[in-house]
Amino acid sequence: MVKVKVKEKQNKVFICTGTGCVLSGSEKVKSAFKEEFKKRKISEIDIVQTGCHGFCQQGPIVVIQPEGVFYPTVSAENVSRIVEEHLIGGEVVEDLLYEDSRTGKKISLYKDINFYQKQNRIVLRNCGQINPEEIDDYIESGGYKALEKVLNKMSPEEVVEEVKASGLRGRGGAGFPTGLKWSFAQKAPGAVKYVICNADEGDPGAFMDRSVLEGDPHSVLEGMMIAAYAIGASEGYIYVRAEYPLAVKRLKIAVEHAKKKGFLGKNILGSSFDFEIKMKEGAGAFVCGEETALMASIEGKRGMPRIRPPFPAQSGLWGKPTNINNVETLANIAWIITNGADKFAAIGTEKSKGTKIFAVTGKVKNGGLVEVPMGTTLRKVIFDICGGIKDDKKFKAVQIGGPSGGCLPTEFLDTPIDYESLTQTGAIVGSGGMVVMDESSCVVDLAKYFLTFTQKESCGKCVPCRVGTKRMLEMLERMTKGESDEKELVLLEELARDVKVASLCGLGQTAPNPILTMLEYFQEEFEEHVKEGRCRAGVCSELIAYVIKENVCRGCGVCKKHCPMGAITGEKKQPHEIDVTKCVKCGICMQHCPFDAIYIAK
Amino acid sequence: MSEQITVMINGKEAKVPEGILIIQAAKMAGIDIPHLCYCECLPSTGSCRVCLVEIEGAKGLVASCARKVKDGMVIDTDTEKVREARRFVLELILSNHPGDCMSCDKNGACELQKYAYELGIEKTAFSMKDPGYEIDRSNPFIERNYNLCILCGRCVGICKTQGADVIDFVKRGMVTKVATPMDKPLQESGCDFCGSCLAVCPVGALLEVDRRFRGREWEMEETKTVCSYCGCGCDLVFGTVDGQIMRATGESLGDFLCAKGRFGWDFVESSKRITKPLIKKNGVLTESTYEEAFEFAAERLLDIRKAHGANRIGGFIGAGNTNEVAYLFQKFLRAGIGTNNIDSSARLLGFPALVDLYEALGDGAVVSMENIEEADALLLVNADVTVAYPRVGVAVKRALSNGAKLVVVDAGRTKISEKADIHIQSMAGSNEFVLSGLLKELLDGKVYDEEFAKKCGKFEDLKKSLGKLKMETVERESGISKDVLKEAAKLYGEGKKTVIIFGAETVSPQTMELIADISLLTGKTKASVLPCLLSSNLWGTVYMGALAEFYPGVRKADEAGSDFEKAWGVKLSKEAGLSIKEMLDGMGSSILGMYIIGADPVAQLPNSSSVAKSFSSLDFLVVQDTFLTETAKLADVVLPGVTLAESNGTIVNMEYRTKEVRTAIEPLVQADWETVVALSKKVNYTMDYSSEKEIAKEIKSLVSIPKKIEKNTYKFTLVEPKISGEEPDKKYPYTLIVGETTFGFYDGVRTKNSKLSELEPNMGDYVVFNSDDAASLGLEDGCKVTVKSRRGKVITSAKILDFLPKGMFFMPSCHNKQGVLSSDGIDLKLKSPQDRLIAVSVSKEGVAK
Ligand SMILES: Cc1cc2nc3c(=O)[nH]c(=O)nc-3n(C[C@H](O)[C@H](O)[C@H](O)COP(=O)(O)O)c2cc1C
Ligand code: SF4
Ligand code: SF4
Ligand code: SF4
Ligand code: FES
Repeated sequence: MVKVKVKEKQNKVFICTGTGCVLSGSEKVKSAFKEEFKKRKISEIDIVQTGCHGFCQQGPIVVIQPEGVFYPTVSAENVSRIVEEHLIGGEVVEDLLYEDSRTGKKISLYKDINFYQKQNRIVLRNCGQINPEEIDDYIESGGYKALEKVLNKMSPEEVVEEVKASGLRGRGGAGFPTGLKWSFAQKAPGAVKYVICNADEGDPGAFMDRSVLEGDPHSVLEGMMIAAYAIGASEGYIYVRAEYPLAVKRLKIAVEHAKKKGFLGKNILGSSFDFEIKMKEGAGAFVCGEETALMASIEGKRGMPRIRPPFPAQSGLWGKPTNINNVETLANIAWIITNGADKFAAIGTEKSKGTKIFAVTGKVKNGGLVEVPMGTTLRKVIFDICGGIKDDKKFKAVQIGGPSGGCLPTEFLDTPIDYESLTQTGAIVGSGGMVVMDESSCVVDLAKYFLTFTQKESCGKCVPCRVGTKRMLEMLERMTKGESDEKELVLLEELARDVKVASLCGLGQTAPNPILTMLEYFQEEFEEHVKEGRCRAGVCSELIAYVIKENVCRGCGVCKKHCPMGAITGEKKQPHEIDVTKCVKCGICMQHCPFDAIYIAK
Repeated sequence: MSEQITVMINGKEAKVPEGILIIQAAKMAGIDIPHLCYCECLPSTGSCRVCLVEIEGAKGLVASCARKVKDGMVIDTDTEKVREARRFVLELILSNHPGDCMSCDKNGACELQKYAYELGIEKTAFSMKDPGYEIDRSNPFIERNYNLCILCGRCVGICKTQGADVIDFVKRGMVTKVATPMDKPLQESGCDFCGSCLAVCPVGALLEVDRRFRGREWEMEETKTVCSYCGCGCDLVFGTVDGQIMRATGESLGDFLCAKGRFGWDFVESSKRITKPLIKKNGVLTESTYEEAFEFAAERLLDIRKAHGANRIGGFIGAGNTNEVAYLFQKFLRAGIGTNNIDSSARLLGFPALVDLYEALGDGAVVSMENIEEADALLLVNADVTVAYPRVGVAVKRALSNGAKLVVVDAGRTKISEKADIHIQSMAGSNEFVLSGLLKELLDGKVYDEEFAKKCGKFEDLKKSLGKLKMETVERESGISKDVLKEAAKLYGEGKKTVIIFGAETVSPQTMELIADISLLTGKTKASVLPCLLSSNLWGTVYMGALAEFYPGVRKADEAGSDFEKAWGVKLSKEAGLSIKEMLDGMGSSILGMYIIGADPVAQLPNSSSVAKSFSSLDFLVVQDTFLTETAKLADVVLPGVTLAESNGTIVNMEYRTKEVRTAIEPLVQADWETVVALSKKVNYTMDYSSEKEIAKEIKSLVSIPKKIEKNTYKFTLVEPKISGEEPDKKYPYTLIVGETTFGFYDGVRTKNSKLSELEPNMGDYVVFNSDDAASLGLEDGCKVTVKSRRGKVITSAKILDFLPKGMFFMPSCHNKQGVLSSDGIDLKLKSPQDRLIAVSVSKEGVAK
């Protein structure tokens, strides 16, 4: 245990005010600090509100700088002790420190926490480290240097070349090479062009874009400015979910500040480059994240995808050449320009460069935002950084890429996470959502969950997606209720493949991915559902009932012993009985009955 | 012509133009790729996924309706993979379709059914489901059964370009639906009932209400003819079963028809039609035989001629009759009776000035819808195009969607002015000032064609006179700032292909001259002006010689008389006859007998109570019409007339195109031309025709339409701007504008006898006030008001809508109440009334003032 001596005068209290921490009460913690300071007449210590640290499970998070002492799950009651013992007394409050779940040790410094130690934070470089509502904080940490550089020293062509050389690919899902995309928009003829930042983040499990917008909005603005300079646009839009009020607020502040400092407006930094940014709040449909739907929505039309080509680079917003990038993509740009394409390209794999942020949720010990170099294995992310499965249960599968992604079993834990490797498995990097499942999760149920989402979110335009996903969902529903048969299982797969090839936009084309991977890797479980009416995870409880045949049961009690739910009762040598309200239909009793006295009633 | 490229379709090489869609290329190669959402008249959406094809080198399957061909492209439209995908998509569609094909009226014409059959889908792999939406039968024309809807989006697309843009997809996923805002019924959503959506719907989701269970698709006989309403003269195809009209459509799928064209033909079947000749006996019109009626009418006409001379007889014909009838009618009067006293409602609708305009500009004076659609700048003067001349409205909308700029000069806010780049909402009657101001700004801003203008006569004079025009005067009289006019001049003047569109019946002759001047100044006379005409055969009526001053071919009586003497074999008067106004003034003295066909002067002419009095003072009046009009009620003999749907012949529409009218059903009564011929025989002038074709032949030998005026000299007119219409004063402080409505038409005779009237509130019996005026006059929506003019007063109800500026009210022409109010002050030059702007006072009924 390191003891840290701290000097009161240099101290700053960083309180996370990202959405996660606000929800767990960081505003109260902030007020508590203020009050405490007032009471004790402390005026020289700054309270800084920061963006998300990505470790939301541990919120509210307080970090005492400059040393970087990390206090997780701080409550208002803890505040007086931190002030008293740490800020005044100069001693770290040990019992409030983070405890490593694997070693049981207390860890005092942010940087020593395993969760952060193993990450490589480029996009999240400033998140949690600066006050996102102060442009000066961003500038102090090296912000807007890249913009200065491109405006003073680089031609638009050189900027595009640099981004190309970095190997950066779009983080919005499709992984299209960013530099190449910019070059299309750059070359497209037209005096009026647009850049758009796609901040719609509709994948239910993902929140990296939100965290970047809340924690480091200027890095996104700077990326947009550089993109605009490169393609020759003088107007930009940020399309942001209205459900992200904090991100919206911080973006607005950031745009205001950038205007005041002359990073936005006419003749930026004395150059001939003009650029302004407008905001458009999206109404929250998943499909509005699709680029053509998004543009329609900005134009005030119904957010419905249209057929491509023409691609946005040829004919985008209001029919003008448009470059559209994801938040995370854009947040990489300034770093690339400042540190050089080589340095970026040195991270990652041959074809997937740089880092990627994953939002790890589900049955892991330490969920949150994890930024790792491309090529990191799933095992490292899940078992090392995130500390493995909760309650030390067995890993079953991981769903990568949200509702458009695929579901991978244990065999794939050593797959490196990069665009090509994941595509080969049937999953995708996608937006970077990662849902970890243990044995208590049922894949059929999970398939149903994702499909319920995509089916509802289908814009309704094209037949395969609108009707096809619904029909698939109906089949899954029947499977989870034991009303299906093997023929339907075959039909489900056919249907899934057809929807994939025949749909108009990415939503429909990827909606079958979870099902297709699950059918491939968990075929058995589907068969159990339709043939035996059994759900091994005990999730689809509507399926069937396990019944003990009174006349066959010898009352040996083996089943009672094995039932994990304690649902079986009965005296020795007397026929036993299963309490349907407690039974989760795992089927263990039936497997163990030596007399075949247990059967499934459908 | 675009370049030809080579593609391979199903192993065969095909040469096709560059830039077309794969589906179009395949069609050229004789391959029909199944498609449901694609429609030639609409931009592709690629949504149904039925038209998928394989393209070598492309990832997955490609929607052939949304991908353009490229040189060397290898396309397969019929592989197993493609068929499988198509079958799958159709099965999915069918899985959400009730499958009541047996009793569906679309049976046999349904595209879903057609492709399901072609792909051999016996039963879908999925269970069929009926979405369970309630069927909407709440409006008189379009039945909406969204249970059958396949969400192809055609209706949504076409409503944007042709309709009122009132429908769109709502909700998401399986519950996605086509709906109006808030899912209100169409009639409450601003729907124009153009029926365009109905026309393009590939299934039975949208159907003509009247057609349900009255005949199957394959029993339908089709007759191509022309719509009988406005001057657009749209092609109309009647579908009939057993001699009864089931529906009207355009010639091809995306052709536009307005509500009147598509649905308003039902007056043809009205029980109020006149089916037998009537003779007034003891003041009561009593049914008689044709023979009796002809005898009686001829006798009386001959009596008048004998006693007082042929010039005591006159005739009047509506501008909606065929050329053949108009020709015959004037021939009857000129040759049979011996008088040139013949006039037509063309005069009431701005016609003689148009002849001048035509002569001034040559062929460029009348352009086509295509010219509008291709234009890059449009100037609309007093033309509520989407309402009064709907096909022109569509052309303007199409031009706008191609990026054209639009300047609108109109006192009121209209559907089209809302899409304008600049709306010059000038004070009523101040058009001449606005246009003079525009002329000046074009000149001062140097946005005109100097080279061309210099070649025109009087250019220097024009410069001088515009030099004297003070923009302050223009600003004061029109209420429009000169900056707006400057901007408008720039916007319009910089166009490369421009058209000026105006409502012929709504503008003064001087306004037309100003329009001609603008057109000359900007130098694009080759395709520059379209006068919008209200009646279906205005041009034809005049060219057939149904105007007092012109013989057929727009020839002056003194010059043409002898030619026609030869042709018709009788002596003719070489003097111009009397205009309708002059005849009116003389009724009871210099005019004693009148013959009227297909017109209702008592309703149509201004100051109607005095008109009715004049008609009553005639010795003898014979009216030939389809309904018992206000004029017919005063007649001594009423002869049954036919509708255009029961006529054969030709008309000339506003684009100056001659169009063929064909009878779609067995006429209810004897054809109009036969009636004229029969009457003529009785006055001892035999016109020997066995069919209308023979009349047409005779016309052809005497007159050429369209008349070609190829000009190489032009000159400016130099108009001194004046306020037109009746000037308000203390006693009558407001201006009443009389105009068209979406579901009414002109004198309302036809629309009143159609289900269209169900859509026109109170059948047009109302006056629109804006909310400011309503507040200051103490009016609320629906209250009774008295509107008084210098001639008379009417009681009607108030409607509060904000589309006109303060001090201006609007009255639909279709209810025909304005006649009581309007001024009979006529323009001397044209002998035509200016009756669409009336000075009035208004008070709430039942409140003492
Ligand atoms: C249904 C659907 C939803 C999408 N949602 C998002 C989103 O929320 N955010 C995003 O950046 N991209 C989203 N995309 C991807 C965008 O269409 C587009 O590819 C992306 O914004 C391009 O940016 P990038 O090249 O920087 O990745 C979505 C795509 C589909 C098909
Ligand atoms: S795939 Fe789905 S979301 Fe995309 S266009 Fe088709 S219906 Fe809409
Ligand atoms: S009738 Fe015309 S205006 Fe009405 S919904 Fe159909 S297309 Fe639109
Ligand atoms: S109503 Fe007809 S045209 Fe409109 S979307 Fe449905 S099927 Fe298509
Ligand atoms: S016809 Fe091409 S997708 Fe519908």
